[in-house]
Amino acid sequence: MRQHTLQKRQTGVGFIEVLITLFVLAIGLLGVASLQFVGSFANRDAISRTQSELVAEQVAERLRAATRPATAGDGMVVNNAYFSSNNYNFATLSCGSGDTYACHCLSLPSSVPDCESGTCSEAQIAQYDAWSLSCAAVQTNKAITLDVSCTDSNSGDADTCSAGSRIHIMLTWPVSSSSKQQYTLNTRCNPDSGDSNACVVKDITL
Amino acid sequence: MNQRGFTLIEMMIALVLGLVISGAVIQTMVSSRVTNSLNQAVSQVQESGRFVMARLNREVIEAGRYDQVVARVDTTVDPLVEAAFIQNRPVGLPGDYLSSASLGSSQGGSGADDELVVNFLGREDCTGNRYGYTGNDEFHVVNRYYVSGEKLYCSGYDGRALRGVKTAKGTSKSVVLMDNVVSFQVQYGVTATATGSQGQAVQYVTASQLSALRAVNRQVVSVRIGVLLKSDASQVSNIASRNIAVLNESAVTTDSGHYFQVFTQTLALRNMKNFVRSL
Repeated sequence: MRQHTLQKRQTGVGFIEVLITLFVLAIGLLGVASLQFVGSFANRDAISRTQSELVAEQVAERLRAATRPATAGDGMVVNNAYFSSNNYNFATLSCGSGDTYACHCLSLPSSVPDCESGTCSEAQIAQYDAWSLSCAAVQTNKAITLDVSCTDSNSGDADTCSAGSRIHIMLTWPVSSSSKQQYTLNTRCNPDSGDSNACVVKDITL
Repeated sequence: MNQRGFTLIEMMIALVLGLVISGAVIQTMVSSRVTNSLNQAVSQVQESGRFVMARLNREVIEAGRYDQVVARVDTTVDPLVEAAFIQNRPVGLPGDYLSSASLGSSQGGSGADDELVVNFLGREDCTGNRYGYTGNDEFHVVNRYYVSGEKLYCSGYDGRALRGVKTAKGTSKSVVLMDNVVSFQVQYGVTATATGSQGQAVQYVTASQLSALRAVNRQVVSVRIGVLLKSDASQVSNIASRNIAVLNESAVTTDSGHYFQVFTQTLALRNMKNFVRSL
């Protein structure tokens, strides 16, 4: 009789129960897999940010290398061509397909002044610097754009950026927010509603 | 009574499902390992680049410094002669140093690594060597940066011993600054003829052109350094190979077994800009 009761209890696990377990496990694994996506996106963002930091520092140093004492005002100025957006981001160069780095940066393009084999004017050096800085920016993320602008403290003189003015160095790249990766968008690099850019901004005076 | 067990069909379905699930688990783990090692390689290269750039930045930016007002110069040699030597030669070239004629910056041919030699007044060379100077006394420091066997080295010298005006106390040493250096390239921004120049670079040249430019009084006021770094061996695989150009050199194609990144930095030599403007 006792043996009979024991045997009756040995029902094991139902097939449906096994299936439910598998289903729950699968959902958990999906979570782990999506964690990887989040991780690699965050990593990509970090690469862009590190690269931009390095480039921004380089821009500041290039500007310092190009300074001359101002004729109007007390301080240092650089050539106006440094604030011409046409010189940056290969604006005047065209590239057939895709990869801007491979297109413009492996050798000096013919339309950029060659300041290596000959002497250049201030404006030409500015153009050459802008080209090589743009190249540094797109090395790891093709979408990074460089912008150098100035809040002119004295609009009366000939300098776009008079002595003591504040220079803004901004590197911007597009990001897309999702439920997994939320960005706090800085208004300085997202002037229009609907923009979704991440950026590194440095303000300097020479 | 209920000892029926599973049927063969049930058993097989369970096995197949188990196989699918464990396959998924293994796949997740393998790919997370790959991603992890790639992340590690990338962050390692970036950290190395950041470090070596900061280090070179700090030392090379001093080139051409000579300060007889604030700094305590060790005056066992004539400081005026020394000042003239350093301020006119921020970058040392072969033939500058009496006791070591071959020491100097050089341009490696066809993509080979360059060498950079800088002169400045400092408390210690890049290896921390003070050559027996006491207290906080400063002396003529010569640092030489070069690559050997994919390692970036720095050797320090007492510039006074190199110029042959003093017998060096202690010997020069070398330290490794960075491993996995694939390419180390340097360009120099030179002014127009220094008298009348505002201290701006008008041309970027290689070390081989410097001595001719120095002869016509065109001074170095900025230095561009490019370093191509790679990750350790067997950390990553199947990275898409691409072409990378370091400064003025022709492009090199990277292999798929390492993560590569080029770091460039331009240094405006503050001391030299002021020196040139004062001429």
